[in-house]
Amino acid sequence: MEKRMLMVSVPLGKAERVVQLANKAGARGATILHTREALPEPKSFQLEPQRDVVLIVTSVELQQGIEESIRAGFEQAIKVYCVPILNSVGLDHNS
Amino acid sequence: MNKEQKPTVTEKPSDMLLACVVTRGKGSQLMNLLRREGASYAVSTFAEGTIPSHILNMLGIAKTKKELVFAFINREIEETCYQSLAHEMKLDQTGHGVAFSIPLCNHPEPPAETKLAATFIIVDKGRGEDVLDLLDELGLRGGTLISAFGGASMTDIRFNLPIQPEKELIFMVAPKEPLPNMLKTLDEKLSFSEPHQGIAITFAITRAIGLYSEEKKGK
Repeated sequence: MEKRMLMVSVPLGKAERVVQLANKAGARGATILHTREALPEPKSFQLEPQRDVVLIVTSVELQQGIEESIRAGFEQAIKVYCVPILNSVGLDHNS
Repeated sequence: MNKEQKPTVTEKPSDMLLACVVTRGKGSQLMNLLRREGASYAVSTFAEGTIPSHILNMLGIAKTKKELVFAFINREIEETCYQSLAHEMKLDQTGHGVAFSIPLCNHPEPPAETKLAATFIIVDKGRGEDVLDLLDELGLRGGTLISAFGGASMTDIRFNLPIQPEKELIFMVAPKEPLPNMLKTLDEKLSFSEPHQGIAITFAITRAIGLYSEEKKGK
């Protein structure tokens, strides 16, 4: 089965909400990375806002639904990127 | 904020993920560089690099502090991004870091056949070393360790305290040929087929710069 990985970037602390929304749409788990975001214009005194990047591995069939569920669950625009997966192991018991 | 206030995205959509691993402290410089070149978004996280040296490994100093940068770019600016990475961050020279491109789902020309692949292995905290040892046995070296959270079961609340499972993410770039064998070995030795043991996924890489190679070392 073809699989994809969604990378969802949200402000720090909102990752849990993303996981809840993704699970509601059929996802079976997620991994969260605490990251810092680069601002569009670098400044001499730079503050980098912290972001949570949520990685969700899912099948192609569920990907669209999960993406829509996450976008609908937040008032602000959410950045969701999708990466195609070549091979995987450890996910088949989820299908 | 009302739902009507959602900003509309007007810039060219990103169709490449540019992942870079550099020495800790250079992440912000790298993110600013990529943003200046036109990357639509860039994030950075702390990571640990593993030097492929048995002697340093035995001494327990085989880990180096690194930063992992994920930048989302349009394929049209890929060339200029790589030129800047080579000139300003010296990624074309060994030991300064690595960068590579992973096409996203909306890429109009999906890669037909690639020689390299990136691997993400996600396991419980503490098992990362076991995975690295196993990869070392297979001749795959130079993975990057990243601390992560989450899993199949998310935050549990016990005694009014949220408990979040800690994970380790191993990020590695390797030739594509040994990867099916690697996935099979991970399954056999670390029981990845069983629930809650870990997952491993691989992605196609279309372009890379600064990769460590055994042949180069031997020359």
